[in-house]
Amino acid sequence: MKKIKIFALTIMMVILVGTMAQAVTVNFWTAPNSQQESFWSDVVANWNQENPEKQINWKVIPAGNSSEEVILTALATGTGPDFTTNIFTGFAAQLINNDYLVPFNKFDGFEKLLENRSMENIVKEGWGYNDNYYVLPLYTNPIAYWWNEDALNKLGVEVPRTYQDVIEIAEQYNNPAENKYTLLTRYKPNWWDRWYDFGLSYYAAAQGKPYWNLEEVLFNDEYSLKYMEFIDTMVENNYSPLENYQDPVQKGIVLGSIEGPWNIKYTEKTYPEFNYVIAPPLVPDDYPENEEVYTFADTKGIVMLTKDEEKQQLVWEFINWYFSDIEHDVKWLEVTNMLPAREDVLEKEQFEFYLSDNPKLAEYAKLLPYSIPPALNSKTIELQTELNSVLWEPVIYDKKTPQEALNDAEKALNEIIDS
Amino acid sequence: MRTEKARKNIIGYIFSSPFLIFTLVMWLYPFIWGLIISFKKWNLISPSQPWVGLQNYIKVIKDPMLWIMIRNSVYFMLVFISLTTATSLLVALLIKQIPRFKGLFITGFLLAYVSSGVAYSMVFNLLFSGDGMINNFLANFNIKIGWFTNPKIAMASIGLIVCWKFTGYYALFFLSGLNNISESLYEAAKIDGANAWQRFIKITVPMLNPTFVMITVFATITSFNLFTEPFMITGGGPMDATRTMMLEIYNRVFSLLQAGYGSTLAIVSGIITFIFVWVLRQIIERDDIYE
Amino acid sequence: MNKLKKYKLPIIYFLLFVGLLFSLFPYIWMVLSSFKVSEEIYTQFIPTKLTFDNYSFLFSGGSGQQRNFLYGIVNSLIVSVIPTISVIFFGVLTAYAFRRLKIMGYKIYENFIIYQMLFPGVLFLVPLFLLMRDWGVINTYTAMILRYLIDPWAIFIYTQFFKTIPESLLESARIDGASEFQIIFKIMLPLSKTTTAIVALFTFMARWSDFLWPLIVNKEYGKMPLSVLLALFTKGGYQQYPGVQMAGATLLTLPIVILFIVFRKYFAKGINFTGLKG
Repeated sequence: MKKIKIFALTIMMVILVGTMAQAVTVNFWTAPNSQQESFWSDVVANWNQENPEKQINWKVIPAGNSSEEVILTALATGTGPDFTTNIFTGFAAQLINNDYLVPFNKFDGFEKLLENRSMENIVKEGWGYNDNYYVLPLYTNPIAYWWNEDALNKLGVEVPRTYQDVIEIAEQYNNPAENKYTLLTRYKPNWWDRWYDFGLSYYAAAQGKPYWNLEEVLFNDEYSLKYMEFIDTMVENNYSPLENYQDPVQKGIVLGSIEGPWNIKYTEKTYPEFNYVIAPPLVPDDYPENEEVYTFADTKGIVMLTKDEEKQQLVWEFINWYFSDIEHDVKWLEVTNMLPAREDVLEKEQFEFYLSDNPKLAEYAKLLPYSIPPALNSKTIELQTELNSVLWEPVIYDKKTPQEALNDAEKALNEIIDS
Repeated sequence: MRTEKARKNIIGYIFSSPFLIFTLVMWLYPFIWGLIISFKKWNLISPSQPWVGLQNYIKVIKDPMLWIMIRNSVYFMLVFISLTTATSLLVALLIKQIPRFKGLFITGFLLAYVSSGVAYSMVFNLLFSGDGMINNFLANFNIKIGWFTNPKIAMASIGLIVCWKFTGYYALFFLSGLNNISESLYEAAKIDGANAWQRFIKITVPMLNPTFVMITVFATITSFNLFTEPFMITGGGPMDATRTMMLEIYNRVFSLLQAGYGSTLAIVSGIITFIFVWVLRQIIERDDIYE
Repeated sequence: MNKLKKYKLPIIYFLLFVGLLFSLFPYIWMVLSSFKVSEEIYTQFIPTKLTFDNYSFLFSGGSGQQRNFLYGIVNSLIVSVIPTISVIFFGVLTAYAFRRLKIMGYKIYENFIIYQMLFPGVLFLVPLFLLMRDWGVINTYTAMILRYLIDPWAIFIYTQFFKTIPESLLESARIDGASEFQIIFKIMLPLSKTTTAIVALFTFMARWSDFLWPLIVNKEYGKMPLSVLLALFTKGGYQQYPGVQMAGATLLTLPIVILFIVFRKYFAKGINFTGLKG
């Protein structure tokens, strides 16, 4: 009899614990990138330990051609997350237009959260859409040029500032027969690559003016013409290789290339001998010398997708918990080597401490005040895919002059925006 | 006797019913559904799917991309058919003449055939990169080839690596074709004074016609359905030089979620494949081979 | 003339050997590279030092915990073995139904199967994906396996083989009281060993290497077959690890190479039936 009682009791316990653990769970996706993976796995584990009745089921965004593609198909098949990271403004706009996102400003304590994390201006200036705020930015990576320091010293030249500087260096340095090129030009038809060359260079030349807005294309002007003419010159003279190389700047195959801060640690580890200078983007020859140079910021944030109110509350609690504690951002900086999207990165000593130990990243941090997120448009992916095939490829493969290509691109992209 | 036959038929229907049901559900139904979607404008994540009649078809035909893809496929076919015919016929002719180790060589050449698309695409992508083994070797002769990055030759390079995979496979077909040619034919030709080259052209080549047809049909179907190689190596670039129907369908449906347009492309692609296969068979297939 | 003849055979052997080296070169390079340290992959053909780091990287789950290649191998086996068994089972069953029982309209069936094989797969990709979506099986093994459970090609070659089995054999079995199932699995299946080996070999190979379909219907790392896992690993942020890529490619290639070498004699026989399969 006693045995049966104990048995029954055990079963009840098991059932009880089982139902308790099942209280509420939400699915959380984060970027498929090894540093971010180890970061989030720790953070989510801490949360789950502290909140046994509010579990977060964490998963890396399943890989595909791009995160955006995977998230879209997941939503189309009803297997999407309740909230996710790795969302840029244009993609958020696309999701908003299809009624997938939940605005954060409808929750209590939204304003306070912005203040706590010191991101009020960042969010209000860069992340609004239809008077709502659907995205909370996690990080901002300014993008910059890397130049091979040893090679520049050997040539006895300064770090190039303008397009003409690069062409002059190329004239004495470039030698394809020895695998020595001057500047890396990305040729792969990935839509996101056009952020890092075209978008970045447009911002630099036009002092941060957007290359398109919600209604129309704005880039068909002297700024993009000068840049595309520069690229045309580089490729035509074989100053930029059109072959596939692994780590060409680190291996000394090219003198310079456009890189994000995520490559710093990998480079340190794999190419300890490689010395490089981090510099702001190249500008047109007539760009005033003492003027600050703007650059492109790769910046991604968190969005909420679940329509279930109970889950929304949980997500909101988690987001509050995450953003209110500066230690999370400090740890983020240490693990991922990416700069948190906050206004006090250059002021708070917790960050300063890390940056002083990591001078390369500090170089990037200096660019923060002049870093501009992608120009907003809900059709960004389609636009940049088209930009590849009407502007970028025809110029680097010499099918059109830069001006023709720009005219065609303006027309084709406006058609996409209007459709 | 009648009941016996009826019993047999009933069991026959029962045993074949899984196949029948499977075919209805996984073949006929999707086929019809695919046709229906091709007349709709449907973005996978939006709830509305309005009928648009022939609009998708008109868009597909008007899109210059269609002609670029057909051009790419034809280019692939030309490279693949000529290369593979040459290499596999050569291998077959050589293997035919050796007295020993035949099986060993056949097995050796066939190993390439079992390689997975993903695996060999990765291998060739590294081998053919700007500072890869091949270009490092060519650098000795001051040559550098942008195998997958030069728009003029990217598709040919893909033809080359697919040829690598299939050489042993088609050599086996050629070999069995060669073994079917009776020696007496050659003897007779010799007596008539035909030299080796004439015998090859007049006897061997016509007798191998079925294998030529097979390679051509295979190349045609493959060229429109190429996916893994361009997906892994080039992403359809440079200048859309390696964009194939399958890759475009994948991009349209799974990147841009245009299910309707993607289905239309699939049907157009199916029709084009049929036309190509039919025309090519008319040209090269012949029944008047020697007996 | 005699001299030429004397050298002819060695020359042919030499040419074949060189050809074989070309054909095997990518494999050799792949395997060697999987044991190389990163910087030697581009510069050295023969590694100067061997390393197992590339393999341990793969099996420790890359650097993300969710990408264990051991699971990838298990998943590949699941999505290859189940369809292989099922294709054989339904192949025998259906072919038996067609041939032996002479069911009404079996000629129509047989022609239909040939037509079915000729239909390009591209027509079914999108609607089958939508079907899986509507059934709610996206991200499951079911979605990856379901469409491959029955293969008209297998039915076709079993049908061809069954034509060669004499009716008398089956009659005597029936007189002995064997049921239809017993006839199929105790007599027909053992008799068609070669055919079964062919079907098994080609089906397994096709499923093991399959890429597009599992890529589309499953996005969960834990369920990805090796081919998809490896492809996404290579494309997604891990381009910097060529050694690891080659270790993965070796893992993906090795099982079918071994299988092929073991079953090579069936391969040559089966190849005559694969023409239709394309």
